[in-house]
Amino acid sequence: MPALNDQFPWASHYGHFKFFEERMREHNIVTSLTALDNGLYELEREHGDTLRVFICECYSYGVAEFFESNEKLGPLHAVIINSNWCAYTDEAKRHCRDQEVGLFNIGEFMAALSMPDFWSYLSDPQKERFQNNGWL
Amino acid sequence: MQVAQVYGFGSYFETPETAKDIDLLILHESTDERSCKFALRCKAALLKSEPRADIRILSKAEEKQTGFIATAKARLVGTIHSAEENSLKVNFLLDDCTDHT
Repeated sequence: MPALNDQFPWASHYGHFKFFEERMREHNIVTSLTALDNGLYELEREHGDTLRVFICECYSYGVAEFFESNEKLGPLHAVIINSNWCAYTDEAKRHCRDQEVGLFNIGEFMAALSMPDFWSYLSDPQKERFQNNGWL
Repeated sequence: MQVAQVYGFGSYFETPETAKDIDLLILHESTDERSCKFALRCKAALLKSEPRADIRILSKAEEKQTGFIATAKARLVGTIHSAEENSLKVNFLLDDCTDHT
């Protein structure tokens, strides 16, 4: 199934991000979630911080798309790739991580959210690839 | 001067008469800011000249990681040069146009 929109903000095929919203609201570390425009959310954590989170359905989210997202939305704390048909590149993950920005799918974000330095979270396969590339 | 390659893939390059969009990949040099912003300018220029374009962007390292060109059976259809500071020269195998952005 294709993503609905191939241009920024790579809107949801279904016109909403309810699955993401439900997962966030049931996460025990999330105290509030506020939807803004263009897939942008403000997410408050028990840690006391407020994260600017951008969610999208970009087929192939690379470093250039991260620059585009930043240009149009301002600084972000996390970018979430919503659809199973979409993905991000390891280079984009590395670039975001170096800037202390999280780049995740929803499952990864769920796992990372409890960590104060959530942006650093890597799945086991990612750890292996990052180590093989000499990035860790 | 910066250069990006444009690859075509998908239905337009198989059966153009029935394709709804034109799938293109912009392949740019690196993941540094200058190269990425050049790729974004290329994307804007391509969309201006061909609104049906569905454009993806990858640096050479990202393409190597994903193997996108081989997987999508994409083929080179053009190049884009930053001829001057504020202009792009778009050269397609069949078309040639200059876009000032």
